[in-house]
Amino acid sequence: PTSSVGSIAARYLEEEELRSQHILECLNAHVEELKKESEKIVRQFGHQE
Amino acid sequence: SDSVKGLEEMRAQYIKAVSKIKCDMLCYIRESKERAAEIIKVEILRERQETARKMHKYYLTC
Repeated sequence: PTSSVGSIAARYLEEEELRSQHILECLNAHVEELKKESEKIVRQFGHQE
Repeated sequence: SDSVKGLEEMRAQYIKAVSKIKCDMLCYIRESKERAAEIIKVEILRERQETARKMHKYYLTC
């Protein structure tokens, strides 16, 4: 049973790896949205002056 | 004025993005903890049953 501790941890970390990739994609999406939206605002308000 | 309106929109977008990032991170951390807790719970239960089985076997053979 004690030998399985390593494999349990390994499996957990393997799943954690996938989850961390997923969250990274989510965060990138939020940053991209901010870039796009702020770009729009800059264009919109830049042309007025 | 228009520039103030633009600044306010920028501010709103910025706050929105940061809030989403915070929300996602909180969710991620919570799920990580829950997963770890669940694994520990299951393993302790399994170990407990294994010990009970060994004890039972031990007392039967004595």
